[in-house]
Amino acid sequence: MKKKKLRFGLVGAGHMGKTHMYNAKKISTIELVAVADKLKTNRHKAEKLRVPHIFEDYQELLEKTELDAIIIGLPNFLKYDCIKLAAENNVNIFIDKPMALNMKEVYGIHSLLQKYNIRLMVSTNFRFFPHVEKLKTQLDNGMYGNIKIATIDHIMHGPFSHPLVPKPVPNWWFDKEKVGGGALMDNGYHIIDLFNWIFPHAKLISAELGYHYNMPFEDNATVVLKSKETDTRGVLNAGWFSHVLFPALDFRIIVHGSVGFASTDDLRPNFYINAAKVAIKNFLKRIAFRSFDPLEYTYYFISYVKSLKSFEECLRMDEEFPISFESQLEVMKLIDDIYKGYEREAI
Amino acid sequence: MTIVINQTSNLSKEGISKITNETINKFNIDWENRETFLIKVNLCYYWDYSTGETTDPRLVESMIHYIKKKTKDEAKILIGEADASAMKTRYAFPMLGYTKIAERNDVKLVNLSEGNIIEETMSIGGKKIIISYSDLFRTSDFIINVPKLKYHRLPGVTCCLKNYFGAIAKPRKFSYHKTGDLWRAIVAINKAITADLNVVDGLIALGTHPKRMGIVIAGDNNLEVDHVATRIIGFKPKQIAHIKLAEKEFGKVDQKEISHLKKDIKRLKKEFPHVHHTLRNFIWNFELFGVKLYAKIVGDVIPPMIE
Repeated sequence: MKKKKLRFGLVGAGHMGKTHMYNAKKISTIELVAVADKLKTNRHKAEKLRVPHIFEDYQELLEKTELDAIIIGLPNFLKYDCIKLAAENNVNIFIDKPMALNMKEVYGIHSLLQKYNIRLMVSTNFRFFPHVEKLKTQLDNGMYGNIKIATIDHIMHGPFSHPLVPKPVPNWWFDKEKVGGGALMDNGYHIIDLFNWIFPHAKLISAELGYHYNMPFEDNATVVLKSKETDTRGVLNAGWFSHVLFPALDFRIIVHGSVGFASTDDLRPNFYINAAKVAIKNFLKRIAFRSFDPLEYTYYFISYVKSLKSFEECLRMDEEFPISFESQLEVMKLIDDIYKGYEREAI
Repeated sequence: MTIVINQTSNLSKEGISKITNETINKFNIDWENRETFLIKVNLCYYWDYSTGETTDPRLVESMIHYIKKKTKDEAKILIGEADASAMKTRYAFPMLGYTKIAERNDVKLVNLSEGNIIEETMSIGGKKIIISYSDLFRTSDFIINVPKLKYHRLPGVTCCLKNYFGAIAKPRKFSYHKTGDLWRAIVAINKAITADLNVVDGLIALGTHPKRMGIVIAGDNNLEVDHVATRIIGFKPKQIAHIKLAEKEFGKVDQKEISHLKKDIKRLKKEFPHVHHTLRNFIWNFELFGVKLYAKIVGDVIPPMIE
């Protein structure tokens, strides 16, 4: 029996929003019915994808379109207002991390979700990397015994990654009030979430923030956490300072247990071999008129598809999201504690 | 015409200061009659000097100290860069350490995309091209061009001539990247404005990877300096499209002027982390073509950063 499609809208078709837009169009159980974006160039992308309803203002999108959920791909400082309006219009929400600028907004969102009885899932797509999923399964099965120490690194160029067709980094990325934080809030969020997911109930031991680029917010961070549940200590490194070129990805989890050690570097597929295999598979699916997941050939962008798919499936089946709101509240709290407790050295 | 190459293994503040002084001392410059100095750096993007992509602020700072000493602290010194397609100087200056230098040394940072802009139509290679530049290039008494010694995927080499492309006031310079227009734009801007001194920053040179070579190349003729830099990077000047076009426009470089550097060039060429330009470009273009072809045939999506 064919599954009924859920009606989705998308707000913010910029860098991340565009990825979600393409993915939503490809997922057979999602009907992307509306997109809203202030920029004409972004609306044009939606037109090319034949999205039926396109708006400049998301308020109009929410008022005029009947939706089951929206995908929010807005800059951090615009997220709260959009979440509020979505909640008031009884629309469920799929949103990129971080869900808000600060804890005040997070608690506000929590109240909104309860008041309007709507559901929200934060897309922390790193959980869906194939090599992370493999490691998690191995750890859950006790393959390495009790894990005493784990390190998680994610170093990249952050918002300053130079695309193939050069365009300026949006000004809001340079404004502390609008971005909410630097590398800790950005890719640091992912690795804190990963640690808290694999080794639950993490508490903060210490943190150090770095300011390599002389900006008013950090561009690198080292955080030490400890899991209250597994007693695992984690050393997490996040940074925006490295000029890493696609398809390289400077990310890894290394665990040291009572029975050996493991690294996600050993579990990840070879980029080019994976790309070739998936390309052939998808070509065959295409000629057989079968659907396929977008961007699977990059082995890590597929994580966005999996994240969106899991949101859609759980929404449809009225099941708990794999990424709970409470877990994201814990991550935001840890980040907030680091910002509050850390005394920045004078530049 | 004078051209010198110096090299140091000491990349401390003192080491850089020493090599800067030794290099600029070789030039007979009338310091006393100069009031305004413009130093054109290369801040192509938000990559710090250790990547080899942007001008080393330590070198610039030692040049500032040198100028101040020679002019008895009376000269006005400007550090200039224009906005680029993906870079804004108002962010690049603080991020890459130039705001700190300016504050420490009481010099001014200028955005060469702002202020009074001169627009000129030039004929290069029989075709017209419009370029714009800051009038500071006309009003400054002495201009120092401080490019990087680095490989660049498109032209092969980026040095003195290409650094002036970065001086074009129009931010969206990517529009010149249509083949043919890029080389003409480089030559056009160098025809319109010229530097009094070119000081090539090879402290950290860039080929396949950055390398601490500790080189400074200086000359009063940008084409001669580019010839030397090109050979060190591993190319023949005639292989570089914009150098070839510049020589058609400005005249060929007299090899006798750089013959005294033959041994140094040979030695440094061996040290430089060479890139197999043709192979690299082939692989890059092949991969890009492959992704686009696959996406078109199958109906898949191209990753955002290479879209």
